[in-house]
Amino acid sequence: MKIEVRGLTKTFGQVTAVSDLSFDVVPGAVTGFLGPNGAGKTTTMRMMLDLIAPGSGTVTYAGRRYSDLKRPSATVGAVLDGAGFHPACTARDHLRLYARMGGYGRARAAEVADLTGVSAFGGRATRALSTGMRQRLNLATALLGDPRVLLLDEPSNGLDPEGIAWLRGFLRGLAAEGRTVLVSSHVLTEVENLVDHVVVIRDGRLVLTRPVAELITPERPTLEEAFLHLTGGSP
Amino acid sequence: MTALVAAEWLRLKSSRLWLWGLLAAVGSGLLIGLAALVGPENFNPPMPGLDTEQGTRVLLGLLGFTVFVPALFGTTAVAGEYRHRTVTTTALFAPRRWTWLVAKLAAYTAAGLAYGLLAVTVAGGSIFGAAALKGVTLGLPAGAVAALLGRIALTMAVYTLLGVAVGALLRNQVTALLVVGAYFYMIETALMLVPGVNGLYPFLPGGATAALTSFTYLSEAVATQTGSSATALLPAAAGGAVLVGYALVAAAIAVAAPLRRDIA
Repeated sequence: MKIEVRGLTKTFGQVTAVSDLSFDVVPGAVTGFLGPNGAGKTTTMRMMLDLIAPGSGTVTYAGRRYSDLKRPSATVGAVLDGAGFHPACTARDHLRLYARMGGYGRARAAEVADLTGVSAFGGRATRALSTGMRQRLNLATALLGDPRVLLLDEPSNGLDPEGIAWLRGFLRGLAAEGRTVLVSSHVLTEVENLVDHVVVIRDGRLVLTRPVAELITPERPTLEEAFLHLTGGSP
Repeated sequence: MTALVAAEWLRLKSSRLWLWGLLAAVGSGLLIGLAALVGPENFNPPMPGLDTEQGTRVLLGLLGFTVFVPALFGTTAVAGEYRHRTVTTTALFAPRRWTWLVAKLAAYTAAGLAYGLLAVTVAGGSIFGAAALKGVTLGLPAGAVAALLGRIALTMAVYTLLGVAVGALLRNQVTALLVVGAYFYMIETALMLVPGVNGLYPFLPGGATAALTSFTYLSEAVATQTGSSATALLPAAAGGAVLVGYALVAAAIAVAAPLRRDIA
């Protein structure tokens, strides 16, 4: 399922967070949504999910806005920075709650818990979870509806190297199944071996959208070097 | 919609909020039982005894005075989503936001009614038990006591709904709880002291509740303190209608408030 972002603009008071942003995210690949801190990545992703109303512009999934999808959580799963949990709720109950909200049943909640490793700490109250465990629980919640599209905002935050490697393999597997995966990050070394395409933004504007293979050159053999060159950083 | 209401029930259960609700309902019921056991004639100032109509009404009115507690639970139900930032995931699973607010209203109105039924059952049992222990007959017939208790239970359901609306409007849990608590315990009572403004009291939630539960002690006490005549309450049915009106306005606010709001 293709995501089409067209002319997205958002201002907060006098500050323009996102300006006339347009790009596509294609299925069967992992697309990196890259930019320095404050570039507008989080605001854009929240607009893609109708959590923030854009000043202008549209985001569609196979032609439909997120809110107009028949079963939104069965089409798009999202792992967002700042999504929380009730502290007294166990990880298992959190999954069951949203499984019920989406109409997926307890068996599916157990399935995604196994898939993401949440089963290992399912009985623990969320207040006692580490950042890495919370990230896994967020990912499990996003997967409840077995969505064709996954949007992940800085998903490796708080994960240890082992967790990052696991996430990389997991997301590559989802893309290989033909799903559409968009991952935002400002840590380029973490997405180096993960993404096939990149969408780079800076100050809320599009810098470029291109396959990674076209960015890497003998002069700039890493994504980080290519990125810094394109965004005006050094080297 | 059924799935959303069921999810709200599960949220209530898994967040342990139900346990606090249970304790508060049983506690407020037992408190009335304790007051009955002590006897209104031993209050300070002394009031008519349990074997008089007025004495029985005072005890039931005291239970009516605890209706703000389920309102706090309703407030917590929505404001807690913002506090713990679960609102993001909730909005992702139900992006048409009015749907989860309607589900919350339905679930918490039912929960408020359950709270009310439990509180009045414990209070009713305690009052009858205390009367039996003291060897006196209540000043009101059992049917009248049951009817008043039933009205209090319904009022508690309405107040829970009012609390949901305040939570949806204010979002900040601490502010919302303070506003609800201060309003019911301080602001309404203070308004009764202001000449001219006190004419509004019968139409405020507290005044309508007092009319519905025939609890005139507060307005009479204020009148005694100020040397004025007590503000006349509405007839019970009109008080009920005013409360239903508040409930409808509150439901509309609760559903409309988050519609255009960014969840950042």
